[in-house]
Amino acid sequence: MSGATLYVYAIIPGGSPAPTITGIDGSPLHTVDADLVSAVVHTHHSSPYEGPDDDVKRWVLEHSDVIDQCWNQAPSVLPVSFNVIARGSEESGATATDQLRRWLQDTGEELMQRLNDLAGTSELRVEINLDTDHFSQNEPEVTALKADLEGKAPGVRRLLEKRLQKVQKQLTETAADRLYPEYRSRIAAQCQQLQDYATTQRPEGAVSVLTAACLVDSAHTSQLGAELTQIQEETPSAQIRFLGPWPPYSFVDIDAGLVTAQGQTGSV
Amino acid sequence: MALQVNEESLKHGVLTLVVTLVEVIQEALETQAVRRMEGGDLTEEEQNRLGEALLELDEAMDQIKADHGITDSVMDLHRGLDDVVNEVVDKLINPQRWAQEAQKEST
Repeated sequence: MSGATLYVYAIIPGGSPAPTITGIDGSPLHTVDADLVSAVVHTHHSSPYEGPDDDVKRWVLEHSDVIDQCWNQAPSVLPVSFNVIARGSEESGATATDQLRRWLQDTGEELMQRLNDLAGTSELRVEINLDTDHFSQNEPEVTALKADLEGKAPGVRRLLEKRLQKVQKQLTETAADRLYPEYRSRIAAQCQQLQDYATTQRPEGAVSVLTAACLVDSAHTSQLGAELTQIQEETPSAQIRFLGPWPPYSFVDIDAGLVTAQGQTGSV
Repeated sequence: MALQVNEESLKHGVLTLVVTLVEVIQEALETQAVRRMEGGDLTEEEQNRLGEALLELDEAMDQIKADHGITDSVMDLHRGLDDVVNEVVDKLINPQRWAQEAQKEST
């Protein structure tokens, strides 16, 4: 395989300012330019990034810092996943830069179209949970069970508490199922696009109602915030997390066909 | 490639696995006990004996986890197992997931 590879961070519209910070492990950044779009890269001399969790975390953060700066400077950005590396071709003798430039040239129109679609937008994440204890506190079945606990022997209390938790969870889950379509449509009304995603963190003592990535007009993020405030006021037992704004990581939707160092297809 | 095993971390890992499995079994027992209690199959005396046995098990498990410094790793593994079970159940009962899988395979 021929020489150095290129580690790719993001695609930006042609003519956008290149980032001024350094990349992963202080690597100097440059752009590979085609007619319509440019890729922000560093020249990479080793294999894909692999190692202990703490190192990976630091690399991913450094990767996202570069994307953040591109996003702040350019009209829009297509973030590229961590560890996407362009390499040269042994057959044709083309360098990694040649290969990447050809890909940018070939897919330039599609990439530019998506960049235009995403211009002026931000991604916000919304997580709504219901606190099981708080939500069910006034339910007759729960108050009866709590009253039952009083004065019982420790062993009986142990079982009754388990039963109480089960009942609280069931009541809250039923409410979460009922609330989900309503909350989703209210939030979707404030977004250009909405995408549900599965979260790996299950809330302790709470039931998840909705976890969604929202693509919003950057100038109007406060409208979504206002809707969430309204939901919070209506449902005091709701725990709402509102994260972002970020570059539109979840809305890039392009199958890039970019070949990584592992020979896998990378995606932006 | 030779597999290198650190004896201390192996013990830690095996103990974490065993304690997590005991916790899973304990949860199954609790669920069963609550079901019987709801069904009126247990006298108050039986409920108390069963509950006290569970309390003693709680204490013993907390002690073992604290003594061996595995409280966090047990919690992580337990969560991981819960996620695997949730995912499998979700796939089995949710026809939408079958369509998504089929779509993924065809692309």
